[in-house]
Amino acid sequence: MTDMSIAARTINFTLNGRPVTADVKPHHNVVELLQSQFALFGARESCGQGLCGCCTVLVDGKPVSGCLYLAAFLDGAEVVTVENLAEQGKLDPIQDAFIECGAFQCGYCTPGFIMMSKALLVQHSDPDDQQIRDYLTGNLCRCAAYPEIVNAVKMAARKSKAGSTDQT
Amino acid sequence: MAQMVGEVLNISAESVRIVPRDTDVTPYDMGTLGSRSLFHMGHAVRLAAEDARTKIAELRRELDEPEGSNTPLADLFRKKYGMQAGNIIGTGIFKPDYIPPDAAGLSTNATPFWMVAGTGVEIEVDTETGHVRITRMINVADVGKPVNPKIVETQLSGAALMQLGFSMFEKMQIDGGQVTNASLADYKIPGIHDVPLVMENETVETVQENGPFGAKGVGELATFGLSPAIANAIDDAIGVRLTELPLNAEAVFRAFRAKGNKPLGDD
Repeated sequence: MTDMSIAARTINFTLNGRPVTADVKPHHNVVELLQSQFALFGARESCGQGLCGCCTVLVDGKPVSGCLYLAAFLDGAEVVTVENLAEQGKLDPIQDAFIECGAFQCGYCTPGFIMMSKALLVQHSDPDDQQIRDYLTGNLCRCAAYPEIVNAVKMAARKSKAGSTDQT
Repeated sequence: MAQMVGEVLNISAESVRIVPRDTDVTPYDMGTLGSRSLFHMGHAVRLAAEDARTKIAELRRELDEPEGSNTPLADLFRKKYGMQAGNIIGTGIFKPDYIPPDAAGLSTNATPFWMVAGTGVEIEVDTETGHVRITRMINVADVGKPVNPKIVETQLSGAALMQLGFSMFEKMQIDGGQVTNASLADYKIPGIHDVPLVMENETVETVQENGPFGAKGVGELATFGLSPAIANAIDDAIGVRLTELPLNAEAVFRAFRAKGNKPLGDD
C-alpha cells in the first residue's frame, strides 16, 4: 500500500524570474530541490541546521536557509538564487565588490554571503559597520574573510548608488 | 600559479587556465603542512613553464625562425607538421633538499623555509564572568615576496581569525572516543561579531632566496603569535597564567578565582 504521507506534490513558483513547476515530497528542502531538479548549485548545504548561511536564497525577497526551508512552502513564491544576480554576463555590484576586495579564500560560503548582502542592501542602501555585522551574523566563513567581506559590502553599496545615479 | 606561468612565458595570467585538481587522480600524500603549496607547487610550475619555454625555443630554431621572432605557436605547428597539429608539454618536478635530524635532533636543513611572525593584542577581561574581549589585534609577518599582495593580506587576516577561534572557544568534546559536539550548534567557530574592532595586518617584504620568484608560504604565518599574545595579555591584565587552550570564559574565570583563593568546584 502506498504511504500517502510521502506522496509528491506539484508546486508552482517563480525561480529567478521564470515560472516553474516541480514535484516535491514533504521532506524535501529548498537546497535539494534546486540542486536535483534545477541544477542550481550556488546554494550549498553545509551545516544543515540553519547556522552557517551557505544555503541562503531569497524567498519573496526574504533571505531564508535553504537547508531548513521546506520545498513545498515555495508554492506560489518568488525565489531568487545567486545564479540570478549577474545580468547578461554582467556581475551584480556585490559580486564585483567581493572579487575586488578579495572577500573570500575558498569561496564555499560566498554565495550565501552575497545573497544575505543583497537582502541587506535592499533594506539599507548605505549600511554602517554595525548593520553589516548584524545582517551577516548568521553567515559563517571558515577562512574568516570577514574584514574583507565588510569592505566588499560597503563597496557594493557605493557601486550600486553610482550605478543608479548613472541611469537617471 | 597562473601568475608564475605568465611570468615565465611572458603571457597574461588571465590566459593561463588551471586544471581543477581532483584527489581521485592525484598521488597519495602524507598530509598538508608547513604552508608549502606555493613554495613546492610554485617551483614545480615554474620548472614546467621553463621547460615549455625551452621547447618552444627549440621548435623555433628547428624551423629556422629568425632570432626574436614571435610567430604564434599555431603557425609554428602548421609549418612543422603541414597541418593544424601538435602541442608543447612542459613538465617540472620539485623536491626540496632535506636533511633528517641526527641523534641529537639537529639538522642543518630541516625545512626549505622558516616562517617568522608576531601578534600583539589589547584585551579587556570581565572579572565577574571571565569573558575576554579583544579590543585590538596587530599581526606582523615576514611574507617573503608576495606573489599576490591582496591574497597574502587576506591569508594573514583569515589565519589570525581562525586561530582566534582555536584560542578562545573551539574545543572538541570527546566522550568514549566520540566527538560529542560535532555540529556548528555546539562547536562554535568565529563569526563576524568575533572579529576584533581594530585589526591590523602588517607585512614585511623579504626575498626568499630559495623560493619561487623570492616567495614563500604564508598560510599559517598569522597563527603563531596569537594564542600566546592573548594568554600573556590575560596575565598582564589579571595576573593569571593560562597554558592550555582554549582561553574561554570558564578557564579564565576558574584561574582568576583560584588565584584569589576562592576556587570553583568541578561542576
